[in-house]
Amino acid sequence: VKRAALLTLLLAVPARAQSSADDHLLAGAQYFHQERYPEALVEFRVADRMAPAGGASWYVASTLVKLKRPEEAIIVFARAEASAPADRDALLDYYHALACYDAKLYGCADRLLGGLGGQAGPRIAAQAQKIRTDLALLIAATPSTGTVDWYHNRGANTEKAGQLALAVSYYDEALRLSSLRTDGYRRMEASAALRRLQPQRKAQGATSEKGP
Amino acid sequence: VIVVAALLITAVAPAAADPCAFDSNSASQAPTGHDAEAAALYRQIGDEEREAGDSAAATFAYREALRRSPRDQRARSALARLCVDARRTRGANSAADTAADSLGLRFDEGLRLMERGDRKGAIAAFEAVRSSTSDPSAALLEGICEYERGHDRRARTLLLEAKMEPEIAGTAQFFLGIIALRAGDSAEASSLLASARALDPRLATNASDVLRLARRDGRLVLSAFTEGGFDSNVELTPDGTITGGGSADGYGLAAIALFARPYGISGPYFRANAQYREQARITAYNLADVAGALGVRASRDGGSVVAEYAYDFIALGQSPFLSAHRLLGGGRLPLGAFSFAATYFARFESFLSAGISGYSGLRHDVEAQSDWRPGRRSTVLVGYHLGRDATKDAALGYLEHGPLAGFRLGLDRPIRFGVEGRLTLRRYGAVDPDLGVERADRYVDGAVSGELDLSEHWTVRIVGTARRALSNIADFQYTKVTASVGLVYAVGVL
Repeated sequence: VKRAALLTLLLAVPARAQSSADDHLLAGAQYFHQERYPEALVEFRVADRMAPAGGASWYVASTLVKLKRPEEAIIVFARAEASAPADRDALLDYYHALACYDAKLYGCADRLLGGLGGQAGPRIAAQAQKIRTDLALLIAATPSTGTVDWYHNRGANTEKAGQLALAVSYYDEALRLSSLRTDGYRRMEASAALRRLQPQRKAQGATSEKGP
Repeated sequence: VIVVAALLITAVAPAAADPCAFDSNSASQAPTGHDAEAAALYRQIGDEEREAGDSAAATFAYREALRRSPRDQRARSALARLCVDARRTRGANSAADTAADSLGLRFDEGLRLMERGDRKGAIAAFEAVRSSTSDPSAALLEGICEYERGHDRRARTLLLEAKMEPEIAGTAQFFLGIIALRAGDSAEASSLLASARALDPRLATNASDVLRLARRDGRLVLSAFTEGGFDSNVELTPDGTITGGGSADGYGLAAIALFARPYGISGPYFRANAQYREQARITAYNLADVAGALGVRASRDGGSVVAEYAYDFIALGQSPFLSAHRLLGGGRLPLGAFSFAATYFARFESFLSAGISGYSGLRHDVEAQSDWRPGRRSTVLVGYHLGRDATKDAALGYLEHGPLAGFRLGLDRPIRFGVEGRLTLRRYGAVDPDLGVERADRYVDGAVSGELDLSEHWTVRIVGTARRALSNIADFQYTKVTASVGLVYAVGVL
């Protein structure tokens, strides 16, 4: 995974058009390769600020995954999807899935891993398959009311903090879990939260959301 | 470009993580140029990373800001603040290091003792750690040790303490779920195990296995069972004596059962079950059985005592065959990886057919058994059995005894295997009037079983048994083999 990430990052960088942002992107890639993630994060973030639509936010998010900051990573991945959708690829989706996994957003993780297909390369595909096997029991099991409540609480807290992409992810997971229960516990509440948040998120704009 | 970037990286690498390093080396850190705009950008990112709690990223960002604009006082001040914070943390850490080292050694010792199976020693080590500092990990491991020793109440207190730490909350919930299950509170167990599974995916398989048990257990459990099988030797008398020439037959069986314990695992319970077995050819041995039991169980810390009254009525070939009342007492005591159990029952048997009424009487049976769990999924058991059948016809009464042994294994998937064997030495109480000798038998019994959980409520069961009966009277020697495949449905209603 590490080598594949490096290769992808290093190969991706020279293709960029904006030279200054590219320098920082390249520096970030070098740091990433050396597993010096704090330094990589700073360089990627500088590149991102210099060229917000240049796709550096995908690498900022991937580095946040490495730094075990999954919730921030999810926010930045959402921003990257909005600002540079063309730069999305299987490897970045894999990192996105890891962020979801670390944030206990198992439905999101499974969806992303399931969409990797054969584009991710054999090693990542094998790793993804292993994670999906671990997830299979988890995402099919009927959740307790306490579990559903936990996702609602996270959704409410992140919404209050202005992290709408994250709040949407938590409510989305809460809705998925409610659907697994025969009593549909808090399903309507999750649907209502998503109906309320989606337009707000669009109106707020992907770049202004609170986060890294 | 890559080479230049690599050189740049090498130049900054040694000082990257230490916010104090720039101050001491500032003379040698020649700025690469003056770019106030870039410096401001780095500084801004440094501020954000410091706020996010990533001091390593913040340090690097401030240092990069100063490389581009050495006069950037805000970056310099921020870096100085990080430096002071780092020194303060290092100082505090240094003072705590000695104590931490000592506690770390005790913790490691606890782990080693736990791995060696010395639960008592491990508990003492973890307790020493916890007496000096609040340590959820020590609480978790001590709780697990207490659980394994059967001290469920103490374990529960420790696991609740460990649950407060998010990193290990899933594991703590898992063991709390097992304890709730052991206490008979399947609803609580289900909730805890589902939460554990959600909190920590690494527990998913184990939690699902136990959750399956929880959903088949409870204060009111309904179950149904159907089976098809083969018996090489159907026609035996109540004491297992062969009557024919070894008539083999197939059969089908259906059974239902209801089990209720309104106050949980401790308290009164009620059990009722009925079954019907139809033979393919030897219809005289079609069997209908209705039974019920009332009992009371007292459980604490994994140990239990039980007292029970049961009634059993059996019809064979559409004729009343047996009416029996049974009084039973028993107990189980867990001691670490071992568990000791003993049961005694007295069964007042009335055989209702004229030809076999001589078998009526009072049967005593006592069995002691010890289980050893060398691993999480395997159990070895050994025991000894003693029985006395005081029949109305003295020639049919006997005293028997003998050892038994078994092994059970659960695999990662919901599959279980079991094998059991027993030897029974039986001596009849009087000279047989027809044969003119005092009969003495030996029975060698073996059984293998396999179970596969198809879902949370359905299980397939395959069982094979074999008996070799030896006797000082050659006519009573025989071999009996049975094989069956069954399907079980069980649901915890409450």
